[in-house]
Amino acid sequence: MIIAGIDIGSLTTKVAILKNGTMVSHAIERTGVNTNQIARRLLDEALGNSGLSFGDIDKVIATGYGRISIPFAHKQITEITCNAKGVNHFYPKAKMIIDIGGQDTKVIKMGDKGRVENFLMNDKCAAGTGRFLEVAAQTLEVKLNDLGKLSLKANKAVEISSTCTVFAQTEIVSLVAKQIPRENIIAGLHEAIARRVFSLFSCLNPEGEVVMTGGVAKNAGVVKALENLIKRPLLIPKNPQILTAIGAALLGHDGIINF
Amino acid sequence: MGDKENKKQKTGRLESQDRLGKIITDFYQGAHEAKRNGRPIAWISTATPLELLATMDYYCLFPEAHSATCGGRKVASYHCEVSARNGFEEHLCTYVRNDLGCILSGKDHQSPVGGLPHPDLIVTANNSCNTIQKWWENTSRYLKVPMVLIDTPFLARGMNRKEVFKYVECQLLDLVSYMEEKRGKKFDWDLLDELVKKSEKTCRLYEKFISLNRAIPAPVSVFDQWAHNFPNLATRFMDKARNHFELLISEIEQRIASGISAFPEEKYRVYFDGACPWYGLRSLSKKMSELGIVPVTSYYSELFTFSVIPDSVAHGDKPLTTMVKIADNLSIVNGWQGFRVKMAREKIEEFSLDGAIMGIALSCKPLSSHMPYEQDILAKEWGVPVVRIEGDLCDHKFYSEEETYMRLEAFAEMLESRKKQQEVSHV
Repeated sequence: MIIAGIDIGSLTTKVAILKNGTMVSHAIERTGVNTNQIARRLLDEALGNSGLSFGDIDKVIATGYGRISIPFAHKQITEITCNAKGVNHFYPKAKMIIDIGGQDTKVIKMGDKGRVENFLMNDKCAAGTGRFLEVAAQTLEVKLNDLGKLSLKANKAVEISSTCTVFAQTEIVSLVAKQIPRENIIAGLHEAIARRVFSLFSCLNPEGEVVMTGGVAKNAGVVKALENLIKRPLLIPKNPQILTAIGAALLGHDGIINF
Repeated sequence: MGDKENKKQKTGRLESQDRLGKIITDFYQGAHEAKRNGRPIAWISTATPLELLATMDYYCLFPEAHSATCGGRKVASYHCEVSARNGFEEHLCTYVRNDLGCILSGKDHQSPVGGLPHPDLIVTANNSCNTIQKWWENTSRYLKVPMVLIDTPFLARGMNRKEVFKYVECQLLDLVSYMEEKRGKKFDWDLLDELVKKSEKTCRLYEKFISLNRAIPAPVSVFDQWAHNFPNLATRFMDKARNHFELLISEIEQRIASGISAFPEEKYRVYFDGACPWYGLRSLSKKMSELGIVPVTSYYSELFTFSVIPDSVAHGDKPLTTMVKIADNLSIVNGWQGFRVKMAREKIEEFSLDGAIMGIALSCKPLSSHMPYEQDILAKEWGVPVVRIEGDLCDHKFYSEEETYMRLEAFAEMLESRKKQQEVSHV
């Protein structure tokens, strides 16, 4: 059985192809404005990479904010449920998920077999999300992917007082003008994100192993800042952005929310 | 709990909706006519003793209800922008900003009821929140109308309630003296007694109306309850209000007997805490219907039972005592917020509910600030699934439809998996 999971996020779209429950291919690209087009193109790319074609697919499960815009999807399931399923597949003992994506942050508490017991999301605000880091990277004129390793060179994290992504940009500019090393500024930004996420995380009465997913999990600086607050190591999947798409495909394989 | 077989139910619009529409239309048209005919107009807040002013023949209007109506017609955002241009900060309560914006708009207002006729008196109590006092002070200043504030102290546990009672009673007697002077006639205490007894009957009927949702499947949803609270809020002492609820109850009892339900599928029954998102009632109702999530009862529904009136009458209180109790008992923020959690827990048991929705109104801290704690307690101590959605009272700019839909869908998925797990563990 060939199942495709498509996660259309605000910044990136991810596709995972499962063949008889095992992942055979995946793809990821920036979403852009035409979600239908990117989803289909990425799906074809992932299928092609594994020697398959669209006609071979038995089911397509769509998730993410763009899930309703995929006409060829058989079912739409929220990324909360899909993320939990994907994480549980690889980390069956994990109880908690921290997912920091492009524009939202989620914390999920799982029950048995990846069942969602409770979840919380960030308030109507991009602070503490991937978008916050994108703006910061642009302002500091560094590559987004370099933020993590740069912050690990900091000798002291600067306190970022602004809770707003836009105002934080202004604050960064003024810190640079004061000749604060950018490594220290970036470390401060990471700590600001970690504190916001930690507030949400704490509200769920956390227990057990914690997995971090979403693009920001690739940022070693944020991971370190979070680990300092939650006082336990974070489990980071090899490809943290793709777990939700995998979870969507797994749910399609199981027969939809069938635990 | 919710209908386990999830079969499609018969559903249909309430016939009483048409009668309600007429009551509301007549109410606002009546206000404008009253003004033209020289009858005194009073703007009052929700938790102000309506019957006291009605006894002196004031036609009482509710700016809060008017803001809700503006929210429903999506014109509140326009009025809120007018307020903002006049210096009212954007995170201020949007009931306030809509109302003041409507006043400041002058003839350019977008009120669907033609605005509220200029009052002769405005009366508020600060038992619902402290913002309302400043709201009314601004209204008084703009409209050059006298304002009466009934000061209701914070009802801390263990407080000497007799002293609070006397304090509030003195203020109501002052209001009576003021009205006697302005109206040039004595206050008719027998008429007040008559109006209170009529209100008591209406309040009991409204209480019965919302209690009928214990039926499975629920015959109506909270969206219907919120709409139908208007006669109990604004016209409860009038015969047509009592008549409306008698007919409404009869219609609902028939729906229960015929198996007609609020939504085609009642998969999950939930409690809704928080303010009504007036701008999004139709879209939220549609979405919840698609998901099979039926909001069966709510804090807001309970708030408008004005149960203090029938309780007071049953207690044999004098009508003035009933009026005092409306002011000093009906508290949204003036007391221990733990009662909101207690109410949620009781309603979950009483109505056989599967979970709860916390509807946060971003511009109303008094109504919303306790919700993270309520969610925490419900989830941790009682294992009740809860989801939080964000929005507002009447300004749709605070609302993200897609984000709200996603949270509701995830909530439905969570409830479904919980239901399946419970079924497996019972095998």
